[in-house]
Amino acid sequence: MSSVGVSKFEDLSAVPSNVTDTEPVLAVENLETIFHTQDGKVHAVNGVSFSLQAGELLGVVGESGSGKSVTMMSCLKLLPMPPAEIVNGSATFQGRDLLELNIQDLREVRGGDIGFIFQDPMTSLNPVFTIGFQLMEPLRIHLGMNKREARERAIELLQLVGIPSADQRLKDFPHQFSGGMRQRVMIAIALACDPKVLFADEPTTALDVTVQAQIIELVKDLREKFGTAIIWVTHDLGVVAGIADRVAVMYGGQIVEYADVESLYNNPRHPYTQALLETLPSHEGGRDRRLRSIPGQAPSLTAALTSCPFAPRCTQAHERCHAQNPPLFEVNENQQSRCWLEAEDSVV
Amino acid sequence: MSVEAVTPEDALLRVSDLKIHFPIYKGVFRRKIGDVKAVDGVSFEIRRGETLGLVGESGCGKSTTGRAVLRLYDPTSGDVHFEDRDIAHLSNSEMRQMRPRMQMIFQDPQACLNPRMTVGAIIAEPLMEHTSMREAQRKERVQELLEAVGMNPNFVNRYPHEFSGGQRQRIGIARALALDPDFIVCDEPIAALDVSIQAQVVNLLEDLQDQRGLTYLFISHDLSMVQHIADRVAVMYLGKIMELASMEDLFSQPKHPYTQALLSAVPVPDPATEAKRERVILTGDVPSPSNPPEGCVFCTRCPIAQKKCFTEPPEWRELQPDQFVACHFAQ
Repeated sequence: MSSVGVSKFEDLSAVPSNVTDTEPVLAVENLETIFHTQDGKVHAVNGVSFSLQAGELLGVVGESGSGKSVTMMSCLKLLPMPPAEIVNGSATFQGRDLLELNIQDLREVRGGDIGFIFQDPMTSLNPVFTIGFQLMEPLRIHLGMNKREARERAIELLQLVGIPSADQRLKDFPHQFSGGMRQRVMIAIALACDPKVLFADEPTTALDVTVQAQIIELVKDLREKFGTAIIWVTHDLGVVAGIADRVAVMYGGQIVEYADVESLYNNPRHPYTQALLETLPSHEGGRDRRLRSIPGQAPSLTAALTSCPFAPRCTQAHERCHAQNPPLFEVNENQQSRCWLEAEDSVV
Repeated sequence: MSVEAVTPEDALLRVSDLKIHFPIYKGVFRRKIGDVKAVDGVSFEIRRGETLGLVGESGCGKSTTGRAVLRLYDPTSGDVHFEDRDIAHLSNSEMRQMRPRMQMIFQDPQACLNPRMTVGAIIAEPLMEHTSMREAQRKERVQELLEAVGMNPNFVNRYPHEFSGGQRQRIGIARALALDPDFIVCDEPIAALDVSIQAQVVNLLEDLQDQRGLTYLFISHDLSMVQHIADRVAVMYLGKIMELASMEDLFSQPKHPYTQALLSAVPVPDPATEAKRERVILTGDVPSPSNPPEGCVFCTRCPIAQKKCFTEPPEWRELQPDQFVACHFAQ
């Protein structure tokens, strides 16, 4: 798509700049998901909105329990309902609201125009079917290929993700692959039908760093070749710095900062983002410098948000933070922050 | 602590040519058909009061090494000297007397605490096993320990499930401290925790080390955290140590091609640096430890491997003072 002529190892941050004016491929508006549990409701996602341009890579960062995975799963209604319930919001993809689709239509979209890579490559492949079967299944269902065509394409896909002697490995079962190889197979399945959007939920978290580096290079490469828009969910701020165009930082089930990658790392506005970046060990001072930690714990989200969820841990919290949940303020054209400190600025 | 020349007396723990092989059995008669060479000849020493970081990818044998130096596994061959005693060859009762001096902190704070015991009982258990303290003394000691790890001493009667991951890890640390050990093996103590909580636990470990003069073997796959906490670092691959050097040397001038690849694979949280970084991307996967390659174990993935590497195992040599490498061509 937009990446014609970009050589393999060139900087990719240039890719999306020429596509920003077009219609987003995926637009999520005000998504709210709650879980009904024995102990009452858990408000896991509280009004998340984001959009994705063609060819863009959006990084979603947050700690466990911040609602990042649930947001992604909600978009494709992959959560078990009940206990989960999507109470509000829309996810517009190709003019249709994914959340309104019936199960039949949804199945056409899942694995077809929208691919999904799950966190754990050990448990997300079916152990009783061969890799070949699992790769060919979406091709035959979504693209109507016959067995031979699907086989050829499956071999191509495995070669694409760098699995050697692909035609022989089609007959193998998931347990015959290593963790990194399995994740490659997952990526191959997700890419099988040339998706417009790829959800990658912690795709490298279960892998070793050297394998993670391989997968990241692979995704960069594939993005250039096919111009797929990607949402990359992770808790690793290092990974996001290397691959994302824009970043959404999540806390307490909402996006607290939404910015392009340079602004976020060079000039973080939200106190949570600032604190998160400061907890990472800096490599200049060596051992003498103490790590900065964020005191306290993540909120439990058992009630709807009536105040800023980060306020109890925030060093800059004031009265208003404990009384009212802030909206997302526009800091500048590239950056939004959900913090009352920005409001004061705008009043002044 | 620092990297000045050391006499053997400074070493709290000396490991020489340690091997741990797990047998593989197969068939109806459970015939032994081979070995998983989890640890295959490692030597290192840990100096009093320092933190030795042990890094490597999953399956490289770092946890096995950590357990073996506490004699939680019986070594296949090799020695482990704790001060002047060879703990690899002590009898069980002799070993039991040594146990209070060496403790362990585990990776998964959920799994290493008995869900049916209260926090007080968990922390008091080593005291009951190894000391003759009376109940009142024990209670006092437990409260002291809880305070030392930054927890409310009134929590003694609560159960592990009532705590968050970071707090559970603190309970595990309090238990390890109960007998005032000299040496603690920290086996991925922060891997299961969130980023903001990791910093809290690492700070706690550092404070305790300063207060009590503890010696740590810090096992981790998180290189940036190891860089923060360790004085010296050993890099393992497929059961062998590839490189051992002071933290500064290892991170500023890694000599072994594996260390170089490992360091270049670590993502840096800075978009500008990431954009212009040259990565050494290793191809393929780690070979199986039951059938390691001949010669250098890293030869199948090494970017600079030559003929010699496939036939001859490299020597463990001191490239410059206090920087050891197992590679034919590193310089």
